[in-house]
Amino acid sequence: MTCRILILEDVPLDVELMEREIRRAGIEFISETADNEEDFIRAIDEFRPDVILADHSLPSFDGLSALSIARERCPWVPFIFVSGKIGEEFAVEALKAGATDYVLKSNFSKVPIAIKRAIREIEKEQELERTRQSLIESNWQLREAQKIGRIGSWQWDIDSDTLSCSDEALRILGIPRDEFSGSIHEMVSRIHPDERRTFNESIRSLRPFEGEYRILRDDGSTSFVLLRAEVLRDSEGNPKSLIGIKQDITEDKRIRESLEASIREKEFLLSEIHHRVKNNLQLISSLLRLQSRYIEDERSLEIFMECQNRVKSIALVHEKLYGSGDMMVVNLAEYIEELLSELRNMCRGRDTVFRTELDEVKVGINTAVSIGLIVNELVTNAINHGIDSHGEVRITLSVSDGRGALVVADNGCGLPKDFEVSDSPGFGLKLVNFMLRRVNGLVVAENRDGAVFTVTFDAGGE
Amino acid sequence: MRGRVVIVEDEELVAQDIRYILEDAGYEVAAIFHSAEDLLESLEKLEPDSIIMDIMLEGELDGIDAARIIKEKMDIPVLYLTAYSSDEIVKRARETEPYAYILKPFHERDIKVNLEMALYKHEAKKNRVKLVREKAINEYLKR
Repeated sequence: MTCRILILEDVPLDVELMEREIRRAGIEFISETADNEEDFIRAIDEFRPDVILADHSLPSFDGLSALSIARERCPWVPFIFVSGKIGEEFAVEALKAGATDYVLKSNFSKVPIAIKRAIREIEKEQELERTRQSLIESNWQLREAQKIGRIGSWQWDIDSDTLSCSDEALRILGIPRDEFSGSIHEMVSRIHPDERRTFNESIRSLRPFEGEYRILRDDGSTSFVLLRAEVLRDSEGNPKSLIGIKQDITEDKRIRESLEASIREKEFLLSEIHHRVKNNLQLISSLLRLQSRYIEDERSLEIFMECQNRVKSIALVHEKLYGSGDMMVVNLAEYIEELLSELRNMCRGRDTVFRTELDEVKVGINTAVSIGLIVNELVTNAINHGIDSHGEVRITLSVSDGRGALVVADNGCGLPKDFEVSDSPGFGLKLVNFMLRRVNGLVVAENRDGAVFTVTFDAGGE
Repeated sequence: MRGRVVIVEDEELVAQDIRYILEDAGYEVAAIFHSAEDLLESLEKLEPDSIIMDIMLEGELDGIDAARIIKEKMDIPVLYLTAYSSDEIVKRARETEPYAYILKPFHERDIKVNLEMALYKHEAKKNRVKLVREKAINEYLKR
């Protein structure tokens, strides 16, 4: 860095000698010379020196006046007297008035040393000032951050039994700064009486702790505060102090409570909706049954019965949804088991065995309804057309890579020769095909010691 | 006639459905009520053998309230028939010691089987009480 030196001197030779010494000492510099008050002042304002070198007696000006002007206009710039002779008295007076140093003209080589020392001092001071500023800055940031985050910090020194609290920590406790005397009891007294013992025990245990406490403020309000502490230890590992934070969580708690309330409300509404859906399905079921009393044709009656089973299988999905916790997914295995226990009633008077091997598969409501209706149709088919009185129906469910696989197999007489699953004359298999479209499904029908239907479907849908 | 049954169901269509099912099975349907209040008013006159009770009803009281009131003064087996399956409702219902809890939508046989069981169990309980009483009297007379 180039050093800017202002020289107050009326003897050009002295200026030259001084500059030569400075150059010799390796200091990079530019200089300006003044020999009267007017030039001196202008140089301070315009040249803006880093260092001032001044003779103490000039024809029209004197060093002490120059010093007082410099102190006033640029107090941070080092001011060094360079004089022919300086008495001890004058030296003391000059230093008192704010001069940085003095050098005798008989010893010009000391000038660069004095400059270097002065600049070092200045740099040190500037460094100190910067540190101080950044300390103030980070203190301010910390205080603001604590205020914004509603997190205060505190520290309890064990030996001296003193408590220090940040501004925010005191605000959380509701203690004005000027009333706080630094005792842990002041903190304890603000904690709800029911929770004081727990807090005291936590503090005295001298171990890290965390807990939610109610704080009673002087204005009568209660707030919820999260207290958390760590233990600081000395070099021998003995606990020295507890350092911690306290966080005002009143607002969080209020939000959490209102969220929980709205979740409860949502659950209530959902269960109400399921209730109404089931009631309406009951209405449909009753309607079908009431009308079926006027039907004499066996085949038509059977159709009505089948419709009732379908309604029931849809209703069962709502039953299972309610039990599923979040009311959005159905455990397909449990659902199919229950469906089968309904369908088992169709086999009264016959010796039919159901064998199931069902993996846990969780699906959405639409998938469950589709698969439920498919199971209903395929199992009904097996009972009515596949097996005789000692038949067996095997149902397996598995899932891999998001594709579910459902197999309904019987040990009956098998499918007719020209059977085509996608082009069946009966409504039951048509319905199966319709349902398959809803779940991106495929069905394969084959004969393997009886009829075997294998259905694959997307298990990840709604 | 296998027994007199009262139906408490605020949905007329469903009530009629139940009535046909019961009559087909040889029961007499003594009355159909839409509210718990109407049921409680006429119950003593009717003296039914059993009550098939919906939980959600017209009026202030629900089916569980009605069952609780009935249980205090009469010994009539109650069967709930409801679309509710929440734990909370089931718990409340359980406290009234019902003879069955049938979920809607129901199958014909759900009603028939549960009613038959309820009447049988109730009869058995009555006989047991009678036996104990007779035994006590006999013991007393023997002394």
